[in-house]
Amino acid sequence: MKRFFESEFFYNYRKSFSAVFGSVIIFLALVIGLIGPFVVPQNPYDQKQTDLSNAYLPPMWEEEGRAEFPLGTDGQGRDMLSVIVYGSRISLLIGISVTVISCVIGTFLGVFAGYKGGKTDSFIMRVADIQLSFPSMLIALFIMAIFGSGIEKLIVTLSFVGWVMFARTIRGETLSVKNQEYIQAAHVLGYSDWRILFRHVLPNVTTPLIVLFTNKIGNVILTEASLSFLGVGVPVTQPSLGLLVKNGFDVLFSGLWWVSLLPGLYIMLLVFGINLLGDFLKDELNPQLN
Amino acid sequence: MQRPILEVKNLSTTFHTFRGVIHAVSGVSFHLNEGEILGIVGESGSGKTVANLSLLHLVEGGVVQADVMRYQDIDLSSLKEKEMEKLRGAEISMIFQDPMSSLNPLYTIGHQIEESLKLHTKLNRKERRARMIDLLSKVGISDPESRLKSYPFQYSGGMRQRIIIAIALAVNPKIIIADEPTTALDVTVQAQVLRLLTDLIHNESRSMILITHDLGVVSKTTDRVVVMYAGKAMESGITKDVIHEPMHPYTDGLLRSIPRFHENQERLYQIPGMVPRAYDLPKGCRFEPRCPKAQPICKNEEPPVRKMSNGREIACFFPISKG
Repeated sequence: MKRFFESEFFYNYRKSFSAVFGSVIIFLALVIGLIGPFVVPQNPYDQKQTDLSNAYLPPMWEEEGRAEFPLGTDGQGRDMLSVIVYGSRISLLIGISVTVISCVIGTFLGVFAGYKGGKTDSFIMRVADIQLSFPSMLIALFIMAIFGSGIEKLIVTLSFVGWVMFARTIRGETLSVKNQEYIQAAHVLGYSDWRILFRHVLPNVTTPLIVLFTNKIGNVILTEASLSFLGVGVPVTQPSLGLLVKNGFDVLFSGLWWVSLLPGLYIMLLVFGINLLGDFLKDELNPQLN
Repeated sequence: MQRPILEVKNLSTTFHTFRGVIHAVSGVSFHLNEGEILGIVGESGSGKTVANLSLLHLVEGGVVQADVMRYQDIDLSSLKEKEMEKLRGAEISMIFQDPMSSLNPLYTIGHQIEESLKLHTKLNRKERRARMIDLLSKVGISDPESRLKSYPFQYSGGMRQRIIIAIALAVNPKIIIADEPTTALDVTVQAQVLRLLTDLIHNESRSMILITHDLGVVSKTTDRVVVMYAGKAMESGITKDVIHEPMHPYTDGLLRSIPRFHENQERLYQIPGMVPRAYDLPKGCRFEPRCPKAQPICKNEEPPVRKMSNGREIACFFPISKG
């Protein structure tokens, strides 16, 4: 740990305003997601706690606003602050779990394809190419339209679409590591293929994963928001930020801007923070730039 | 006569590529006696490395055929991959050319030596540690205990090659195949590492195949030598005989290309022409296009391997005779 804090990487990180700013946003978003529900004024999905007569109240700084509802309320009389906190949990949950799943699948397939070569390689990479030739949004829309909405279904679908990028990058890295002499030396020492694959190749190809991983989370959150906005994402009972934007969108032009705009801003801020950190990592860990 | 520990007869390795069939090794025979150092000399692409990788089933995408491929009483060509894995490292080990890339950059030296010990021996933790420290001091690394915790990048090239030798020796293999072990090192370090290798071989009654293109190294360290050219053995025999009285025009050319101290050479001798491309080999003797002694027959017929006195073998119609 001490070595990390004294490293050049950490030094550059401290010096980079955007990287620190980005990670502060991510950190806050994670904290809000984790402990938010215990802090916010109400559980917006418990009907005993909401009151329809409080519908469409503006944020507290507006004329008709009430301190009770700092960011106003939506059409069901739900507190917007609580709704956004609950929604951000769903968005983060989907963003992170989809990224983890596609990262694991993609890395495994990529390293396997690169190491085995030949027909295995061609097969895996052609599947990846075919997937890439469709817009991922279209595939996701298609699958979700068939199987219906649901958080687990959304996670599975987005992971199914998302592994390709990981697989391609890792395969490329594997191809170059595979020809290093220490891999050949490992063969000569009588290590089995699996052992070499997991113990010697895999650890040497993971650097680009950190960059891909970070950017992918932002990417998934956006895709999920788009799908939910189109009505094929999460179910109405567990709205993510994207669904909140959609719910408010109907009344946006009646002057009730906060119902749609505030969750939208939160998405923007969140993805902005993730991208800032991702950009820093990309510059820092890309060997071609160093 | 004692039975050789390793015997290869008529080994051929071919690659099928889109440009045609490449005969990387065609019909090479050699043997390795116990306690002996055998040199395999040749230019880049002469098939010396491929021949040895073929023994260990490490040729990717190539077809290996041989009449005999025997280690002790084991027929290497019939071994399954699992059995081969047990043999590699434990019985036959290999050292590669470039010490800078032969160690995994992510693991400590200790970890890398131990991995092989864990896999091939039943030693417990303490015994493994003792063995590792013993190995490191044998290859001349001072303060081995603390050095076990270092990473490869903290070592210089010569030290890394010593570590690689230590890893190769870890499980006490009978045979070491050293593939140009000193090519990537400084000249002074080269001498040290070679000395270390030969001492380790002789003191512990192992055998070694030394692959190199440096005839100086060959004459200093090896007992017998095989000279390869374009995938074929041109000449083989006891090193002294071959170096002092080359019989094959190719060996002769190689020896004449070495710069000498005591002669006033205006320009270094060079063998005219280029190594034939592997997918476009001459029909007759492979050295014919560059051979100063070539006759019409050389162009059309492959010279058979002739057995001479003192275990000498030569593939040439018109060997250089003494006098």
